[in-house]
Amino acid sequence: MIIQNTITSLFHFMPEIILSISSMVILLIGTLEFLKKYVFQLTILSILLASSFSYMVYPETALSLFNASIVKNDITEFFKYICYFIFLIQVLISRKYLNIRKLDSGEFYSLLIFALIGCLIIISADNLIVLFLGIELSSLSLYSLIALDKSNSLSSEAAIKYFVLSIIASAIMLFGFSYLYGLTNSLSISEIIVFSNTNEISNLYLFSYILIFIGVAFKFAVAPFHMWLPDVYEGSPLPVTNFISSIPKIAFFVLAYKFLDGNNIMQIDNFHNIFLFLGIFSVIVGNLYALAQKKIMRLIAYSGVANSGFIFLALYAAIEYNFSVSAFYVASYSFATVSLISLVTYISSKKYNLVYIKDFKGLSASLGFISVLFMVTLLSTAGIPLTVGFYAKYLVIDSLISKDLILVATLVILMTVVGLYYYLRIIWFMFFEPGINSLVNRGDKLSVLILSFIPAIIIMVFLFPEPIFKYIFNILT
Amino acid sequence: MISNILSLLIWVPILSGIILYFYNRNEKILNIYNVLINFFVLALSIYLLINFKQDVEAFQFIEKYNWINTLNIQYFLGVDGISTLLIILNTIIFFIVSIYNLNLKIDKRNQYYASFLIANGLTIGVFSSLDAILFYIFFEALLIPMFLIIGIWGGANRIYASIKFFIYTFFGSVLLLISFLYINSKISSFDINYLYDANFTLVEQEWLFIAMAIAFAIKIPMFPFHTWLPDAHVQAPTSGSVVLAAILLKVGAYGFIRYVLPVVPIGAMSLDIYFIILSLIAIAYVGLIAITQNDMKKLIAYSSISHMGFVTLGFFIIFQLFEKTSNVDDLIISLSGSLYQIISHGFVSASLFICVGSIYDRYKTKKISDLSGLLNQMPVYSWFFLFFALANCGLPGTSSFVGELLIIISSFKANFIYAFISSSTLIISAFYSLWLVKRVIYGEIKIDLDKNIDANNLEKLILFTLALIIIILGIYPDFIMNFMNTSLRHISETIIFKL
Repeated sequence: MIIQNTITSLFHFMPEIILSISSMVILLIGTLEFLKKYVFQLTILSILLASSFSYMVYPETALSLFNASIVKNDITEFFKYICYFIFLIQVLISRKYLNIRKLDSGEFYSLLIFALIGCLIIISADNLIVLFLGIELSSLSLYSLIALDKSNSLSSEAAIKYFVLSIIASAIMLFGFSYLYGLTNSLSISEIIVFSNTNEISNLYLFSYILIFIGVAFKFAVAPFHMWLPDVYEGSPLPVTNFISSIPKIAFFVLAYKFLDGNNIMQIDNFHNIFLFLGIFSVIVGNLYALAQKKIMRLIAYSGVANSGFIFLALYAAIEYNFSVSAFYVASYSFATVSLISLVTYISSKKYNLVYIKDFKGLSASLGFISVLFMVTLLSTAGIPLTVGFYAKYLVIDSLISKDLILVATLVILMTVVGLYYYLRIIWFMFFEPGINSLVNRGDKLSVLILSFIPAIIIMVFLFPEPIFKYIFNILT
Repeated sequence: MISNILSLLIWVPILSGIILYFYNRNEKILNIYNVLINFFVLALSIYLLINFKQDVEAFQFIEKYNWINTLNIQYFLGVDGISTLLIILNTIIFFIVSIYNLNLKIDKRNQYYASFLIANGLTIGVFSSLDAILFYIFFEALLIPMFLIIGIWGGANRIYASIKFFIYTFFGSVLLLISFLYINSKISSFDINYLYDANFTLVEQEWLFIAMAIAFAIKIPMFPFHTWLPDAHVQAPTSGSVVLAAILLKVGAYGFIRYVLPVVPIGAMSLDIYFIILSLIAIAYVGLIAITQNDMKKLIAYSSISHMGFVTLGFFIIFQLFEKTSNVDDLIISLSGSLYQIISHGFVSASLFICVGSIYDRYKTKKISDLSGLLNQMPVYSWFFLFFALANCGLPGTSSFVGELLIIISSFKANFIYAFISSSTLIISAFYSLWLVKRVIYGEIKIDLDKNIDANNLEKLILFTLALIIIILGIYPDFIMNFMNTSLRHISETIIFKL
């Protein structure tokens, strides 16, 4: 790892700096009447700029910036690219939706970029204080983003719920950080890992980890820490839901990875079994609750709970193997869920509110191609072959079986059969039922093109997965 | 010689199906395009048949590429005698279906054709893949077009039927996935040749057998996993029923002979009695259920389950045959009886479903109680219906007779009781087939359609072709027997070697 001084650190930290500056500029411009309409373009521009700059300063070897509080390596950059890509799609798709609801103000885009910066900092932080800074930056922006739609009472309810619960989770996490600091006398995550590999692990040390991972479980919405998720998904504006469903999960996965990779604590039964039990519990709860849902966003939320359970199972399986299984799952799931919510956003932005699942009836008659995209994405979330979601579930099941947890593997895969029912329900409403809405098919070509990116990726990666597997297996070992 | 012929067979229909899905302009072009593609696939498969070397034991037309190195998954295709025959059955049926579809008046015609084309390619993929995961992927992907066919173009209760179909079979296939992954965790390969060489302990084999056998038993389907089939058949459009009965059920049977019996024979041997009992229940009891049906499609569906009982009986008595006689030829006779039954049933059930579909198109009912006296209104058509009903009950001279006879002979060698129960089908199937004919074809006219509604030329052509195939298979079975003999010997020797 090459240590950089402050000046060169600034250079390597440029993407985040660009984003921060542009988000402030956007906030400013949003207040000016004659420049107001350019906030969207500016947001797109800043993302493109940041990601291309990020490509330009791609680290040849791992870098350590700002007195070892920020690291940059293949893993962080890989997940950052995914974040940029997902964010770009989310912003591009949500313009019309926001426009109709008069939400496309400067502060919306500015807060969204701040939330992104927070997540990017979580991904690259190697210092507990900086890490907490990133967590709070993203959370605070999200509280206000959720509440932004003042005309919607569900929105405020969601914001309050998320605020209270998230604050508690952050506090528990911070509590864990403080114990960790007290025990190891260090704020650096890499030094903490060295500590746990050289010293005997005390119960208090274990306890601090458990507190931290309660926070992580909360952010992943793993059962029983999932209570906030359906309300928030339902209440917040769809572009915000889209953000919450994907980018924080990627960020917190990298956080978990940083804490657990090469850490002896994973060898302690009491600790790693937490992942197993939470994972199983979450898969069961998520799938069973999703069966009963009537609203599309609540359904996606509970399917998210089930998928987070799979991520935790993958983390459990990482004890002996590596984190590539979970990394692949996180990436695959985020792509699928972003595609789902983007499609819902796109349909909802045509002055046709897609709230209940029965609103999908006959969608294929008016929006044929969009329905096909929806179907591909749903099948990927369900883990059916011909989509990349199959490999994601496959890898998790495979790693469970090679750890001789055949019963667990059978249980969770049977739960996905249960889960298949609610995915199929949407497909049957779209394709099998006669239409009840008079939606005119006047989709703008550009949005449809953007929306078809992720389903295309889903199928292409299914057909030619080897390069992706190689890359992920390579950077994570 | 065309290289990569199997890949062509798989991907040409799939890709042209995808193109067709998004093309919806000229109906005439659609029809021609669809028939041409199906004909091209049929011609390719006949080319495969001609170039196949019958006396070679190993797999032929092999295509082997590393697909996903990190997970040991290969793109590994190849055929032996069994899979070649099933591919031919598949392409013939799909070609006939594509001709039959010309008559239909449906909306979203392009998507209808596309679903069938994609199903065609995927089924060939199932029959030719020699890598377990590749097989699994085709096996499961095949559900999607069938799900859409039943769900979009099906009858009034189509949603219930399609969901039941999908979830039931998906449930089975995840058990299959678990078994394959377990095998991989022991031998680090999905290659069929390694699977055949692998040795597992008795407990492992039993569990693997249960998981895989449930997966394929649902697909075949065996009693008591059969409940999805009557629903799916009744609701599916005619062409969907044809494909379901003629092709999809065979996928399950193929799975047994390719992935269950040779891979975990000891497990199969220790549990074979249960499967024999279930097969006998299917033959006798489900046959009795068929008698009581008032819906023609349901009757044929139950008779399919009953006939599939013969197939599984033929598969599972081989272990008792081996204990009794230790002669590999007895095993081959039993297995070839099953495979003959598979192929014969493919044609017979397809023709029966086409007949019922044509009745439904004219009278808008499938209820037996609503129909009577068809002979007066459509004589040519009724003749064919009578012929296929006779073929269904195993009349000597038709293809069904050969398979059933071989299996009954083999079960005599194994145990008299099995033979006794399974021969009851000769009465039961005659009962439901002939009684169906009696009620529908003969008698007074109930619904008087005042037009010339006899089979048109297209239908005559289709029905005649099918009847011809059934007769040829019935009087000259040697061709198929010789064709699969070497492959069956190879499989039987693999099984015996492992016992």
